[in-house]
Amino acid sequence: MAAVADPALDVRSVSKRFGGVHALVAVDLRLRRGEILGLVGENGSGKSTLVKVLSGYHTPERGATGEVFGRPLSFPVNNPGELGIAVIHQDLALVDEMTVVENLGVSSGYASSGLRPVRWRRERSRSVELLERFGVDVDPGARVGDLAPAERASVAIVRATRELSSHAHQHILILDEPTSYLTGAEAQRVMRVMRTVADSGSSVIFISHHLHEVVEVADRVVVLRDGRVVADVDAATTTEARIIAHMLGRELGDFYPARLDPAGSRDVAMVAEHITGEIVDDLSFELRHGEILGVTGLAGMGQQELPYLLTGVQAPAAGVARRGDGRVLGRSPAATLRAGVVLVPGNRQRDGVWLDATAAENISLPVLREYYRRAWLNGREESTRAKGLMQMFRVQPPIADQKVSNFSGGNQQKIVLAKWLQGEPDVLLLDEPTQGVDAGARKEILEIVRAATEAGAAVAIFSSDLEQLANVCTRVLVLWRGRAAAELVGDEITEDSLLQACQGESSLVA
Amino acid sequence: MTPAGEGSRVPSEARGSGDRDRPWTDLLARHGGRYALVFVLGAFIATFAIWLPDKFWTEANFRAMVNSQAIVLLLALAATIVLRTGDFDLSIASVMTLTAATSAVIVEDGGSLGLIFVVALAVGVVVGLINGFLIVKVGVSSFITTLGMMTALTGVAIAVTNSRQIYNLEGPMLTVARYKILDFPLRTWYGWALVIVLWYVYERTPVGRYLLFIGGGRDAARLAGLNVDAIRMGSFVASSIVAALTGIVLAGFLGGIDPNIGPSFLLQPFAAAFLGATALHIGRFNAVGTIIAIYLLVVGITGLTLLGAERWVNEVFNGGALVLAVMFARLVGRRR
Repeated sequence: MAAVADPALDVRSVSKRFGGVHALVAVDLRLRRGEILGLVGENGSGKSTLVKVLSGYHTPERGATGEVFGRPLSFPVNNPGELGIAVIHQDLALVDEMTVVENLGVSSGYASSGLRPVRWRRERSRSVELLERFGVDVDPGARVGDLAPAERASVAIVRATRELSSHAHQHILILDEPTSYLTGAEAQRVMRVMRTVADSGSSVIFISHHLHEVVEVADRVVVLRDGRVVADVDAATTTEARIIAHMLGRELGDFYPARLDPAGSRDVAMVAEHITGEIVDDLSFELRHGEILGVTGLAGMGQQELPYLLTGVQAPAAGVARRGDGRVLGRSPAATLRAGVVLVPGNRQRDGVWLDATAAENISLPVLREYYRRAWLNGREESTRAKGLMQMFRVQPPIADQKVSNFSGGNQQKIVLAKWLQGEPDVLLLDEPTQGVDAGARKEILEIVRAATEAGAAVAIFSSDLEQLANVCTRVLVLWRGRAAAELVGDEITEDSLLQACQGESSLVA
Repeated sequence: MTPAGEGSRVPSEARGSGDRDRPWTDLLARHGGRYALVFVLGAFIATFAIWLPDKFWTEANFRAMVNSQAIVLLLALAATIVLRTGDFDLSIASVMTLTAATSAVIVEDGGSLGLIFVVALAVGVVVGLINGFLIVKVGVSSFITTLGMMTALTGVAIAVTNSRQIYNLEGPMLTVARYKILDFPLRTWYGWALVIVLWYVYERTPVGRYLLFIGGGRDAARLAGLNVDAIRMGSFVASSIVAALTGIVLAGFLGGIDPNIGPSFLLQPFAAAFLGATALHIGRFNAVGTIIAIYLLVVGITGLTLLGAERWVNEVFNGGALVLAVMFARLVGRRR
């Protein structure tokens, strides 16, 4: 590891055990001033544990030492804010109902003291100045809930720097997957704010599953695997593939399973006729057995809404979805399921599973009646079958009576897939199926989807992950303002062609 | 379909309960919390039995404690039905009072037991449907809706009895509550029977699981094809019916009714239901936990009263138990 002169952060020999599990093993981490450090690793590699040690949530084992801006750091870290360390989690911890100005002041105190009235005008001008300094172009009076996701993430970053300013000149911002729910263009905006922060002399630790973003924005990349630092590389000289190899400890081989031949698609499985929702506008298309159809577009072009309109989760303003034989799908999720169409929702933690229930209980929910015979719910049969499915879908560990919240994101998604694929549905609609999932699990999930397609299922993936769509789809529908702007088939589908098609009407095909 | 290799491999350990190989210390750490309430109940009984062998540790005292909780047990079980779906039904105590009032008035007028039942059932179904409609279809918060319903029904009950307290009734309605089997009155047996019925529904039928998913992951439940609205509606109707039938038992037990009695039955069932959710299935409202919680509360209150505590201990104990139970459930939830 390169010697770092006068580092912002220098921790050594950080270890952490949970029971018999070594979450961190003698990790050394150094952060230069004004640097963006990409911290990557698979789910469960120790990234979160390391962050929680730095934020004072976890106490590391004895022997850990550290310095922050030249001052000794004692463990457990007490009041990281005073040391200049702030962590921004994925949920951002903003108050949606309050304005940008109110949110910016809420944690560091408004320009007032005690019970004296807040001087809102001064508060506002202070916020405006701060937002400008970081190049964040939002209306300070806007409700945070009304902002775009990228703007919300930027506001959270600005707020953290403001919070730290009251204690320290230089800061360390730890961003824990701030971009995982953002589309490419939105993530770019957040990354620009990160760069501005770093250019002002503060340091950033950027945690993300989106490796291309990490390679693009970070100066240096540290890779964790099984609680150890396995690589510390200059971002300018590395590639995504090399980082993945470090993360997995092996080459991933082909990053994606080979694309299916579009000629393999067969009879029509589902027809959408004139579907209209809030964004989706008079959209018609077919979905065939044996194909993987991608549906994409820029954020807000309708691909997030479409699967819910098709399955009766959200009532369409007009239009109808039918099976290939003409049967109407129905107006409720229950009716849609009876028609053999399954939706794997994008918001896993809200719609996909109930985190407080066990894996078995979640997996069996759609088919629970099968275990109810002679007026008795057979719990043993239920958990045996769930465990079998968990092994088939490579959930680690395959413990059926474990709460879903105890599994990592990738494993939770595999549980969701097990839940929905066990009935071998004819039509499978997947909304962002690999969101928040690490590279290894992503490949396994896509292999599962591919196998289902080869077995005859009709699959549609609704996603803004163009790279993934370019690699797995046999056909892609690109939406622009709720209408189909382009359709690409087979080898036409590349990340570039998709990106171009997403830009809208200028590239409209026919 | 056969995803990604080694498809149908289901190893033998999948068939075990999963707990069998683990050392008992590990089991205690994992499951100790589940039985904490049982241990506390045992500790309470042992302490008071040693301290007050003549007053507490007698058959008569135990019978008195159990029988005194018959009505509360029925209401607490009714409360769990709706709590399990993530809503509140605060109107149960008033539904009970109202049907106790209608029952008492019917007895005064010489009506039959059959009429008493029909009226009570009708009240239960109608109130449940109104609650369900406002909460499920219109989308008003269940807390507010049933709080309003509680107050309104107390008024209706007073109107039904013409603002009178009714006493000293006689007839078959009293038998319904007081007839003894094995020296326990029927009202106590109803509660025990309902514990068994609800245990079966909650733990051994799909419906019990559906209620739980609707309470915890309502959107996931809906996407899994459950008819969430109908099930929520049904749970409001079911809890109202149980409360309505409890009203007949109450009128029979008291031999009349004071229509102002409703609010005094409001808190205790909820204290027991919440406390019960910290036992056996932590964080889940369940029937067996609820009956354990009720007996824990009554043993504590009785013991303290026999030690010379004043009557106010009752309210302090119940209120404290409700808050402690919710706090405990939260702490356990955070730890995981």
